[in-house]
Amino acid sequence: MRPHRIVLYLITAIIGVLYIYMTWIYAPPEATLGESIRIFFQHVAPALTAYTAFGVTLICGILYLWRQDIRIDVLGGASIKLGLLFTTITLLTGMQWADATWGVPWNWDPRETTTLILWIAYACLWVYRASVNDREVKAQFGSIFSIVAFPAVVLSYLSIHIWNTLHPIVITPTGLQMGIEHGLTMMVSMITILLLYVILLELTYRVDSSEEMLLEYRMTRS
Amino acid sequence: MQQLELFTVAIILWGGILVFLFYLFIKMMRIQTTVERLVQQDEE
Repeated sequence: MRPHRIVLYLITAIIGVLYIYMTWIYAPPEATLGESIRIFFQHVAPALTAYTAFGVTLICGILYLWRQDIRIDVLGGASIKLGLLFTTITLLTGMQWADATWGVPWNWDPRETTTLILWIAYACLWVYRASVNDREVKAQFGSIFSIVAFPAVVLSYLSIHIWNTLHPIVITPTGLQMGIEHGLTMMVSMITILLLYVILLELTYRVDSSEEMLLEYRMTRS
Repeated sequence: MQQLELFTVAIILWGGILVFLFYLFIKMMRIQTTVERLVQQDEE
């Protein structure tokens, strides 16, 4: 294993342990939400990481159309899977949060609805990529689709500012609207989940690249 | 009830990441098996 990888894994493990400690022990119960605030630290970080993952997919899509490098397309494809993983976690933890604070897990709130649309858009992209055999066509149309789908990310993020919503607005232009302990826990949770995203992206890229090489070998062999 | 909700959220987050890692592991194993089979076929 390369040294930079060991360092990344070690840093992530240390910050991960700190994240678990801060989420479950350090952060005090909130005045009105009580212990439910702990759901929050496991909901917001995956949500912002999912947006980041789809942002990486967008950049890869643009870069692929410009450079026509298949490695960029593989990286974009890996990021779609991780974006879907973190969006699924966001939706499920959000339902737990909604159940605890609003009394129902799902009430078609603008943030819930737009995030579900986002999940469906990228799930369609994933299914499309998995179903096309022609490598060039898959990369070309996959890249265009990743650019076309990105407004769903912007819509999901801005939905709480556009429509009336029950969803709390925590991140504002003036900063995080929460106490210092909760703010610190929020920051550590963001760093942990982003580091996990980087590790998972690298692993997925390596596995998908191996699959690409295998497909190429099979093509030349036959 | 609140403890159960908090536990469920932790399971969703860490369980989701573990399931994804398991998916990658299965995929890698499948690739490795296919490569070994192809190498064996080429040798024969």
